[in-house]
Amino acid sequence: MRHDELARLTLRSLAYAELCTDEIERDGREVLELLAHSVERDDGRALERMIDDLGGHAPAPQVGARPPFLRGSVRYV
Amino acid sequence: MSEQVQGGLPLPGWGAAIDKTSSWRLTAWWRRGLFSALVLAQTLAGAWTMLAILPYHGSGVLELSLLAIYTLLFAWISAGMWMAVFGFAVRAAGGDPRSLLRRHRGRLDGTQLAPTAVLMPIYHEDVERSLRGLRATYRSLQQSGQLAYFEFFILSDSRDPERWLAEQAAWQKLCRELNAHSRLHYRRRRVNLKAKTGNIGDFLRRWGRRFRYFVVLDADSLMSGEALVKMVRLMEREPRCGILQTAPTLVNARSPFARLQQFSNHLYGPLFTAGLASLQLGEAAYWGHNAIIRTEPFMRHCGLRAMRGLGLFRGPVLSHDFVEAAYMARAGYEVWLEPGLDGSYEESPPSLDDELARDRRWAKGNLQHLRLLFGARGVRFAHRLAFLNGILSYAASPLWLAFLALSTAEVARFTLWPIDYFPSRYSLFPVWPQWNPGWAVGLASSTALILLLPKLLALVDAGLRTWRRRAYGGLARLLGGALLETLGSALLAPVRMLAHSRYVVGALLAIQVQWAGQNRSEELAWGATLLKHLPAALVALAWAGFGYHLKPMFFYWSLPVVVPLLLAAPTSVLLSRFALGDRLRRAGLWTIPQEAPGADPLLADLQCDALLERSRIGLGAFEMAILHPRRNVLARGMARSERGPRADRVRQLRERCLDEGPQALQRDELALLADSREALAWLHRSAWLAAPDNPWGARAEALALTVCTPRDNRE
Repeated sequence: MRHDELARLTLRSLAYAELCTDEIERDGREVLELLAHSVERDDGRALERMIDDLGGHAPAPQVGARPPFLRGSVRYV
Repeated sequence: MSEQVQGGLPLPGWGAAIDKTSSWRLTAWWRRGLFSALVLAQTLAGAWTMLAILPYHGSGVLELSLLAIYTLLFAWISAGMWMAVFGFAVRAAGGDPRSLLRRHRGRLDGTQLAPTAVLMPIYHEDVERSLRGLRATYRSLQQSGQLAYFEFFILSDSRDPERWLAEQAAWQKLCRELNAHSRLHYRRRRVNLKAKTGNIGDFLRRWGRRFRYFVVLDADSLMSGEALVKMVRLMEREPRCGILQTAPTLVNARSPFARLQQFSNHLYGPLFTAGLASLQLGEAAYWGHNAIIRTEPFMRHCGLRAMRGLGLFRGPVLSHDFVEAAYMARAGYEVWLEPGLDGSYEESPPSLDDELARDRRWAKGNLQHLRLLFGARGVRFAHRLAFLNGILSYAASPLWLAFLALSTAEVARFTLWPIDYFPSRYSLFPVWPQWNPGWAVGLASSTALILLLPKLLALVDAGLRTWRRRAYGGLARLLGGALLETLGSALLAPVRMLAHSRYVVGALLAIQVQWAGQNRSEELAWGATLLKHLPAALVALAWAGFGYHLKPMFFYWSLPVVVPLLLAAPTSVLLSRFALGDRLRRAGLWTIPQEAPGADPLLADLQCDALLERSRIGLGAFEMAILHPRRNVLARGMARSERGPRADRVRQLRERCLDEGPQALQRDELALLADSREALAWLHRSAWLAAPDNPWGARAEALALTVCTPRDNRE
């Protein structure tokens, strides 16, 4: 892998990892180790794997926490 | 009367409420009778004087028209004056013994609460301000210890993905901050039929039956927990009460225009609302927000159909609140205005132009009530008068304009044409035209007194109460503020008159009015404002020139209208400048009691931490929803899955968006992407994998650099 590609991959991986955290500092070394494993496979999908892996840690928002419907009708007059 | 109430909840105090109902009706009769007699007597005196002043004493079409318009306008301002006098008397007596709060004072604390929804319908609003208000209200309720009875709903009708994605991000942040995931809900309608009424109706159909009451907030509303709890308790004690309206006071003003409005609202408002409430009693109006509503009868009796007439009377009812109050009363429920409930706030538009943009919708909405004024079956007389009041609020402007035009015609007739001694064709005797300048000055002075008396009474009301006087910065600042406010209002009145006249004519000609969010935070630009007010300035200049040509005295008489129109643009721009507003505040002018340090913690809470994180590299809400992993997960969670032809279209659009960037797409195209779960996921992944020369790759690179730069070096 070319040097500039590796630099970009590292930068994006670290930034992505940071953005996925929820006010908790992520250990940069952990991300770099993950990246190193990913790059070693040399199949051109290193960043893709990083996104899948790190994205899986992004906390899911509670979007479905609305109360259940209790259907009624509005009478139009 | 009790059999009229359908679906009411039989609660403690039912019998007592019925007794009190009949007694307030009696009080309403004599108060309204006295009020009408006073207004009528004053109007007759004004009309008679006007008749004496007119050269032909009302002979001929021109003078009769002048007399009719003058009488109508005189009645209108007389009603305002007597309303303030009633309010002054009520306040001087220590409040209205018939008001709900006075009647139940001492018994409220022991009253059980009931499930209540707090609704904030929004449409392209300032997300940060709206949700900060909701946060302050939520926290205040939390502090009251009664949060368990309330749930909050943000009901969005926003069509612009930039807005709705920002709303969702701010809502999510709010949920985390308040730990309110099960109590603070967000819903966006994809099809926003029937504007705000449709939005609330949609909520009621889905969740209405879960709540005995619902409170409607505007995007700039703010309510204290104590006020909300009191409102629910009052509703529980008054099972006949269908709607309880508070009198929101203006706060949080920065621009001089908003500060002027805020000052007059605080100083004069209490008199007018006390007077209005004392006359309306249980037949008050609903103002659309900062009010609590009994859900079940509202769903049963207040659903509004779209109007099916022609022109103005076609489409959704724009000013729905008055109609809903009228229908609630028609169903046998009471509607109360309670000025004694503190902790209910709203904000003023920051500039004259923003206020006028809002008035355009309101003018059309109120004029739609013409049909209900005469046509609606079973609506109580008091509510028909409320419709008339709303209509005249805007119709008074073209009437004033017509009065000015007819006056000019009258002067022109005497100056440019020979005197007509036989204005009535079939008269054997000549009519000698008479001018009574002394009478004219007397009538003009009494008209000025009618307009200024409420202000004087308000000054007495505030000046006599030590705490209020001090809260306004002392007597000197209070008087100085009132004088400056009177000057400001005099400068604004002709501009409003001309704009309202245009809106009324536009509404009657059925010119479409856009339903748009309101500007609550921007200053006016010189160029656009000068251009906007130029036609009015030219008309004023022409009128003044013609007046001078006719009679110099007439020219001087026209100056109070001409000068404000010529100065409309600079007045509007200067009154929108925040820096000037801040200076006025520092000088202690137009200050209000709530601006004293620590006066109301609720207002301090409004200024707390920001909810929306601004992107350091200038990314918009859509770009953040694509790039930021957590914002992307949120947007996906709120979006839907596409099928069929729509999915094909979304696939084409997402490819284009990736290749050309979001700026290449139209708003409705971005909306399709922002509402598609698959498109959001695909774009997120593709953007992060994109090469640096791709629009999204470049954005990902810039974001990554910002994120990875140590915090100290980012600025």
